[in-house]
Amino acid sequence: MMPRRRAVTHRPHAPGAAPEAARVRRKNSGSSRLRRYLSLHIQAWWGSLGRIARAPLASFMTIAVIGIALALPGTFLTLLANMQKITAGWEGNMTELSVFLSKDLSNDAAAALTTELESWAEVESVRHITPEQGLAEFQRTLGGDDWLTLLGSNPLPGVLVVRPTVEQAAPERVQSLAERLRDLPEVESVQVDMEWLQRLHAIMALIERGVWILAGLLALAVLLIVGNTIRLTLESRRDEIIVLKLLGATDAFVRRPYLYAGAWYGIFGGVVAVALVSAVLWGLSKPVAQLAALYHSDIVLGWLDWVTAAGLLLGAVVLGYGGARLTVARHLRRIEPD
Amino acid sequence: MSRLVNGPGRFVTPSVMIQFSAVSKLYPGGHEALQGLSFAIERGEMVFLTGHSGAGKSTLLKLIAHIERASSGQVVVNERNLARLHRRQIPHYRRSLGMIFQDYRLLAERTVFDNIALPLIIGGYDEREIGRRVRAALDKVGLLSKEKYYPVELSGGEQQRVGIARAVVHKPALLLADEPTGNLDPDLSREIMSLFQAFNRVGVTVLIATHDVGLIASLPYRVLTLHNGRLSSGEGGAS
Ligand SMILES: Nc1ncnc2c1ncn2[C@@H]1O[C@H](COP(=O)(O)OP(=O)(O)OP(=O)(O)O)[C@@H](O)[C@H]1O
Ligand SMILES: [Mg+2]
Repeated sequence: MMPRRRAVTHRPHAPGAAPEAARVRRKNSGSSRLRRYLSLHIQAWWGSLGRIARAPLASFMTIAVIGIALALPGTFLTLLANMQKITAGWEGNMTELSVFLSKDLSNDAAAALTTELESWAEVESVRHITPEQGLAEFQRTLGGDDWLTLLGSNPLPGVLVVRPTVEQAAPERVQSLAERLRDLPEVESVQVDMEWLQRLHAIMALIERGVWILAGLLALAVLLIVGNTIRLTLESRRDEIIVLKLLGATDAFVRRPYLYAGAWYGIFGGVVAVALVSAVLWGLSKPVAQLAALYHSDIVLGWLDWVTAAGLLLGAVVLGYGGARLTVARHLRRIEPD
Repeated sequence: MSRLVNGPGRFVTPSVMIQFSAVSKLYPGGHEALQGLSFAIERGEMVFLTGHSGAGKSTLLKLIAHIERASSGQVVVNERNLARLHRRQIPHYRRSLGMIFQDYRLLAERTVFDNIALPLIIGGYDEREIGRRVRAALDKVGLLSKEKYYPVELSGGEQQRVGIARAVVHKPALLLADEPTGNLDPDLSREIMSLFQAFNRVGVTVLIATHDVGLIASLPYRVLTLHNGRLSSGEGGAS
C-alpha cells in the first residue's frame, strides 16, 4: 500500500482516489471498458423500466394520455388517407366537360366528332346530346307547354359530355383537356364542371392542414406531459439525486435513468396509440361497409398501414425522450447538495 | 511521511492535503459561520475537529467537499484550488473523497449492499470488483450478515456503519467524517475509531468532526478547535 501511495503523491495532478481507480482501469482492456460502459447503460435502461413498474398508476396515466394524444392525429390521418383514395375515384367518375358545339353543326358531324374524341388517350367516354334531346330534357324538367312553339325554333346547341380518364381527372389536367377541346373548330365553348372538385380539394387540403396542426399541438402536449411526469419523479427523488452528486456522480450518470424513463413512456404510449387507432378503424369498418353497400360501392376502410404505425411509435419515443431531456436539463441543475 | 517529495515551483507542496488560507464563510442571511481560518493538514494525517454546536464544524467540512463555497480566502485540497474547480470537474473531485454524514444519507430504496456499492458503480468499476470490495467494507464495519437489509431495517448505529463503509469502499485519499460516532455506544465508537486509525495507517488522510471530547482525549491526534467560526487551537502543522 505505502509504495503505491507515495508514487501517487509524486504526480502533481492526480487526485487521491484517481490512482486507485486508474489502477483498476489499467488492468482492463478497451473492450472491457466498452462492455462496462454498455452495462451501465443497460442497467439504467432496465432499471428505469423497473421504476416505472413500481409506480404503476402514475405511469399508466402518463402512458394512457400519451397514447390518446397520439391516437387522435393517427386516426385522423388514416381516415384522411382513406378519403383521398375514395375521392380520387370520384374525380374519374364525376368530372365532366360540357362541350357546346356550333349552332350550325349537323348531328352527323357531331356524331363523327364524338367518335374522334373517344379515340383520344385522355378521354374515357363521350356522350352526345343532340339539340332535340336537349330540348326534350329541358321540357321534362321544367314541364309546362310546348316550348318549341313558344320559342319558334330550338335555341339549344348540340352538346358533347366528355368524361376524362381517371389519370386525367386532376384539376390542372382537366383544364388542359378543356383548352384542347376549345381549339377545335366545331366547338363553340367548353364548360368544366369543376368547381365542386376544386372545392373538395381545397376542403381536403384544409382538413389535412388542420390535422397536422392538431398533431403538432398534441405532440407539444405529449412533451409537456412527459416533462411533468419526469419533473415529479425528479422532485420525489431529490434526496437520492443529492446523494449521488455527493458521491461524485456525473450529470450524465444522474440523468440517464430519467431519460430512459421518458423513452419507455414513449414506447408504451406509442403502442397504446397504435392499438387505439386500430380499434377505432375496426369499429368504423362495419358501418362504412354498410354505407358503401347502400351506394353500391365497394369502398373498404383501409387498415393502419405500417408506415403510419412505425411513424407513431417513432414519434412517441422521440417525444418521450425529448420531453424527459428538456425537463431534466432544466431541473437537475437546481438539485444540488446543501 | 511524504515530505521528501516537495517538488520545486509547486503552488502548494504536495505534502499538504488540505490548506485553508484566510477562509471566511458568510451564509446568505448574513451569518458568518467561519471567519479568517488558516490551517494546513498534512497528507496522511489524522485530525479531529471540535467545537460547540454551531461553531462551524459542518460548514468547514462542506467547504472541503465543495458543497459550500468560501466567501473569501482560499481552500486548496489535494493541490486543487477549489475556487477554480469547474462545474464539470466537481464529480471527479468528489470521487477522491470519502464522506460520512451527520444524517447518514443512505438511499432508502436500496439494500445495504447496493448503498455501499454506489461509489463503485459511479466510478465505473466492474461487477466482480464491486462485489469483492463491498464485502470487504461490510466485513470491516461488522455488517457482513446484513447486506440484503434495507436501511430502515437497521438501527441508527448500523446505518452509521453502512455510511462509513460507503465512504471508504472506493479507498479515497481523504476521509471526511461529520459526527461519525454520534449514534454509537462507547464500545462501538472505539471500534469505529480504530477503523479510522487503520485507514490512516495505510495513508488515508482523515478529518473527523466530533463533540466527543472524551474520545478525542484518549487518542494521540491533533485537534482543531472552532469557537464561533474561529480557530482557537490546533492551527499549526502536524504535531
Ligand atoms: N445553509 C445555511 N444557511 C444559513 N446559515 C447556516 C447554514 N448552515 C449552517 N448555518 C449556520 O452556520 C453556523 C455553523 O453551522 P454548522 O452546521 O457548521 O455548525 P456545527 O459546528 O456543525 O454544529 P453542530 O455541532 O450542531 O452540528 C450555525 O450558526 C448555523 O446556524
Ligand atoms: Mg454539524
